[in-house]
Amino acid sequence: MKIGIKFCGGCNPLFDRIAASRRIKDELREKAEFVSYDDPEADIILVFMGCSAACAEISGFSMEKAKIINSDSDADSFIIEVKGTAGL
Amino acid sequence: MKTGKEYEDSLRKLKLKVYLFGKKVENVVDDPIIRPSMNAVKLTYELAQLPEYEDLLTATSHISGKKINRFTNIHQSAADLVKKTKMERLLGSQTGCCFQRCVGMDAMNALSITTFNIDKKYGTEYNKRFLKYLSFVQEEDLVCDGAMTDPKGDRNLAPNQQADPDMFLHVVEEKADGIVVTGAKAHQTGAVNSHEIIVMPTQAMKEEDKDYAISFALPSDAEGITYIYGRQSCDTRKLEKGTIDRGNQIFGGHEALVVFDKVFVPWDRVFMYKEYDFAGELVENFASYHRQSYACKVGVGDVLIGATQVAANYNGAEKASHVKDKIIEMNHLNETLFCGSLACAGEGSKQPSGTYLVNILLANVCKQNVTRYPYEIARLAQDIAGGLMVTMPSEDDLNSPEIGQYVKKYFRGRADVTTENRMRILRLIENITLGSAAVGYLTESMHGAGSPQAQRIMIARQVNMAEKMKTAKKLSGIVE
Repeated sequence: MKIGIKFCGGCNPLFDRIAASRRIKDELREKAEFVSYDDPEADIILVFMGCSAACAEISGFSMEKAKIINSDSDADSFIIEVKGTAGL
Repeated sequence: MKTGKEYEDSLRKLKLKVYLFGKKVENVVDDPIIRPSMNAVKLTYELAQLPEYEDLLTATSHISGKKINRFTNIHQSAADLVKKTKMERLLGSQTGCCFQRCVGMDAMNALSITTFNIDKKYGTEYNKRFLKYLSFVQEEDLVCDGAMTDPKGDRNLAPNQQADPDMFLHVVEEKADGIVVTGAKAHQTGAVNSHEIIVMPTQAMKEEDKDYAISFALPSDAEGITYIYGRQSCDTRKLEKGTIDRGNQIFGGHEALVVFDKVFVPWDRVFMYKEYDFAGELVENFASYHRQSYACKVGVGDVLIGATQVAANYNGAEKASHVKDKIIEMNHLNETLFCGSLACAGEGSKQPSGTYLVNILLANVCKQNVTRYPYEIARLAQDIAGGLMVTMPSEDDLNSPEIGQYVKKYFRGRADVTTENRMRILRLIENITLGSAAVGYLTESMHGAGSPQAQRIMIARQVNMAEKMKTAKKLSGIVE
């Protein structure tokens, strides 16, 4: 599985987007390859939005692939979902 | 786009004539007084390269379609304006100081509008020249100093009436291949960290002042330009061996007087030449963009509020209800400033040139608040920090073999926090509220992009009082 990563600009984040993305990468290191958000072969694009304004520019990719990570619990849920899908 | 290292290396190639403490600076980039300000501008390059920040620090050029640093972008939508506000908050919070690059961006956006309008009225080619210049700036990812403020001399007199005609920058000679200008621009933020200087008139002009209605761009090391670096409170702490007493370990801002002594400007770099009827529009649009740009102070406010909370924690005072309430008030005021910048951005509108301009009324309201709230936020920070901030001994005393033990013993707050850390956070609060960063956080908040009265004049001009009175009369049943 290829997972693309996109961030909002983090002007005033309500959670630590960077730490959350690192945690996802660490936990799913063996299940997925992490690529740029504009990689056409990305299966999922995780979009880290620091607050409810959710202003990251996402017009350039398919919303079917996008998964919004808006909090640490969103990040945790994604990890559990991928591990479950991967048969762990 | 340049990396931070490429930006730094590009500055080393410039042959700037910079004076500081009466002497010519031979190595501007590494001078210990100047270096922190270069670090702040460098961060605008570094963050643009990082995926965690590129959404704010980059944009797509409407000319080339390429990814560019947002500081070279011409705003194509209200969303662009909002991202500019958020970028400025981000950089303020990452540097804790004035990061200097916004003025050039605001100048270029204002010129994109006015050159188009001049051409429409007079059939000139300023917009074509400007877009060619803009392409160059975007392609090379340059820092531009937006230079507006003239020394002004006797404020009662128009530029052409001054005893010294150079009190406002003006053309002194016209040649076949360009113009020669003399004068100066004061309070120029980031001037010695800039690749280019973009000059604009400082006020609306009448026909008798047409020699002063000029706008142009030059390389910052053009022949005839001299920089005289401005002093800042506590500036020489940067020359000390230790670093704790600086407060901010990495970043700072600067301003300089930029003197133009018979400087040649080729025609292809001239964007306004004696079209005095457009000087006021250029000034008003630049000022409006730049008043929006004070979202940077929200970011610096984030740092100050964080430092104040840390200081309260280190003192063991964080649970006191008045401390909590003061922190709430600091946040309230800080976010109100953010509201103002976001509002003028969100209510921005498309100009005939295609550029989006902020809502002028709301930009002036935003800046009027910026002239006041940082002072109150700073006052509350000093209240919570306590008097030790301005009485504590130096780093040398802390590290002294003879008396360091007393410093460590008597200036400890909570037992589990080192005295050094307590001193460090207090020095940061000092730096922002009355040290070198107070130049940017306080006095620049007061006077940058126009002094308070300038915004009050604009607010009075922009509001529709007739409509407000009509509504009031209708609701109260008045029939006249």
